Amino acid sequence: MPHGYNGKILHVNLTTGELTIEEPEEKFYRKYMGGSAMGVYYLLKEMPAGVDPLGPDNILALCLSVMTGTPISGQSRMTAVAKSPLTGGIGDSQCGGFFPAEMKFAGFDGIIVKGRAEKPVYLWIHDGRAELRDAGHLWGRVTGEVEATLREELGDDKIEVLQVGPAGEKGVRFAAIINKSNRANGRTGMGAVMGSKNLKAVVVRGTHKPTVADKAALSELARWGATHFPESDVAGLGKYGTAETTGAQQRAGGLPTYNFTSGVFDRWEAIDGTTMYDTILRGADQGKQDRYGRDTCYGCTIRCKRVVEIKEGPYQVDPKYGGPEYETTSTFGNYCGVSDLPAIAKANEICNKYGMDTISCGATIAWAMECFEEELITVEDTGGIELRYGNAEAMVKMTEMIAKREGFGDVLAEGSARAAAKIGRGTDEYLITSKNQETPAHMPHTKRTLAVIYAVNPFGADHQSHEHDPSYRFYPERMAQLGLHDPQPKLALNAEMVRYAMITQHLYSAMDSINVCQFVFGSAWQLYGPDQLVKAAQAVTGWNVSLYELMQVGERRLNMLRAFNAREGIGREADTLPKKFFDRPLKGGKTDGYVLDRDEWRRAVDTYYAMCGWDVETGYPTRPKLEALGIGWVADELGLA
Amino acid sequence: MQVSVHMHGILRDQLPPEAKGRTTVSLDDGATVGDLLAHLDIKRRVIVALNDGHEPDETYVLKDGDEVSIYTIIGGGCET
Repeated sequence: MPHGYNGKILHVNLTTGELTIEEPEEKFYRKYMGGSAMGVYYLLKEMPAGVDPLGPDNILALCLSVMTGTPISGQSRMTAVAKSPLTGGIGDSQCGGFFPAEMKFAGFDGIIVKGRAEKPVYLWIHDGRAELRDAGHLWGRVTGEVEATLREELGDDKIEVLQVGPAGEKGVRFAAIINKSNRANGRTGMGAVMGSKNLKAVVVRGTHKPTVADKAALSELARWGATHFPESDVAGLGKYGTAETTGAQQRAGGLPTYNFTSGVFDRWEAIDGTTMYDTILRGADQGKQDRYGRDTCYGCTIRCKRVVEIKEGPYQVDPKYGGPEYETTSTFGNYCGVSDLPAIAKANEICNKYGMDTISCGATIAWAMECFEEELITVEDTGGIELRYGNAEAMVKMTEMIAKREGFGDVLAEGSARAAAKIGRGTDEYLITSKNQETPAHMPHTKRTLAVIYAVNPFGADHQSHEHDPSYRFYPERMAQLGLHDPQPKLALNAEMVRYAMITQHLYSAMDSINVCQFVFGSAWQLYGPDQLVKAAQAVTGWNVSLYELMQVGERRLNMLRAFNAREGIGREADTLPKKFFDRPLKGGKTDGYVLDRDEWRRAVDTYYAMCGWDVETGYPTRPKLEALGIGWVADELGLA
Repeated sequence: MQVSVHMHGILRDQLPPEAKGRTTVSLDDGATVGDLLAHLDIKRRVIVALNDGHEPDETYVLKDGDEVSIYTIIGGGCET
């Protein structure tokens, strides 16, 4: 009897309606652990190269891990993997909430979705049973309505609903998969893939919690976490949400403003986490926001999620759609020069209601704003909307138009890179994309290892794929666990910083496979360090896993993602950064004049490939590296000599 | 001497809620940043910044009228 997992993967063929259950061996779970590694395993094994991301041949893998649903903070995570309609390569995105744990209780560790249903359907899974049901009455409806309808229809308030909103149905290329109406597999357009399959929702309900091998050890770790949380460096994320970091970013000149034109936003205090807490969190008017304005994921002690309620004024917000994260206050806020917090919360609501990634959506609008300011996009394009920096009303309107693919919103729904290609006129000069994915709100200008990771990450610019630069210096005890003992001066992008980026990337990659939250577990500031991640994995599974073994899972997953891209012909030439980062020095604040150096960056990327054991010319994984990771079959798949 | 202090994020919880993280502190002449942090009973890892953008270490001797901002270290979201 396995501990922590069910031993069952559900395969769904939407074209034929066939549902089958696979029961992989223990060694499969130990080798891939779950999440992203498990998902890309099925994509490499069962999907040919060159498929249309929005066609029936794409595979959408929804994967838990061996730890999901067990009683420790940070484990209720699910990874969605498919070929991305945004990047054209691998797509990969994690969500939290209660859906992941409930899916585990319902009897499955993964759902592998193929084909395309003739008509809209939803997948109903309850206690090991699965069936496809008609979703014609749900199609076109927003997430909150669909949740309510399904709860009523199924007569069970405890169901968890994972779904696409109207944006996913309409193929918005950065559409998200939403659960709880406020949690997202946000990045890389996984919602568009799910929508293209006519799969409106996956609904789960289960009563079988996974067994844990060593309950006492896991309880001890949970107790330690609860005790140390108040004094930990994530305590502020709990109380004030991720937007607590806004002030620190501003101080450092690392708050991306006006589409990465500047690293400082003079009105940052209007949109930071403490202002949100004081003004628009649910219950703030009675001083009860700690009780009503904060939400959590299954089993998590941190409670970092926001619940915003605005009952009056031009931007009323329904609390069921949650509240904005730091990334969201940044993309709709400082990226766009908008300091109207209710407007930002409204844009967040629209994204959760219609199912869109707040990072790509806000950043795409910010790009369009800069092009408008530069007179490359005009009111002729926008249908009369003055898409200027600081115009909160235009920002909210454009968010809605993208969700509905109306007017100019239809152009922006393709993502900024495709929009630039369509519009032309030099608008590509202002893009802030890597592999067509818009850059999140951390600046490589001031945290230089981001310049490497944004470029080489297989699914485009991502801020949660390694540990950022300052942690090397500030957390020596935890860095030492990873063999990192030599922090470098500020702004260094030398071999040691590349090594730091790669090693921490492997740990983060492991965490996206074992599917744990990167605020709870990690290599530096998180509640638990790497040694405690090992203890948790041991306690749950009963396996005598080591940090080395987990790091190998991470490296294995990363190589598989790169291999997926290689099979699509995507290699080094796609590992780019926005031209703007090299050509346009930042303006104002502490980072005034900061710009990246192309030669230094190229050398760092070369060093990174070499350290990874990849082909420096192509950026592809090599057979020796894949075989060293125990996945020689991937080299066969790529036809590597 | 007196210095005005702005304590950001979770640090503001060490002051009464109505202060919103802002306070004025009286210190002996010659007091350092370390003395200020001890006076405020700040035990977390923090970064201290003066209003001119300078980020002094704990040995820095404060001056009357200094405006000091104090931030926690969060999520790789900081750089000095």
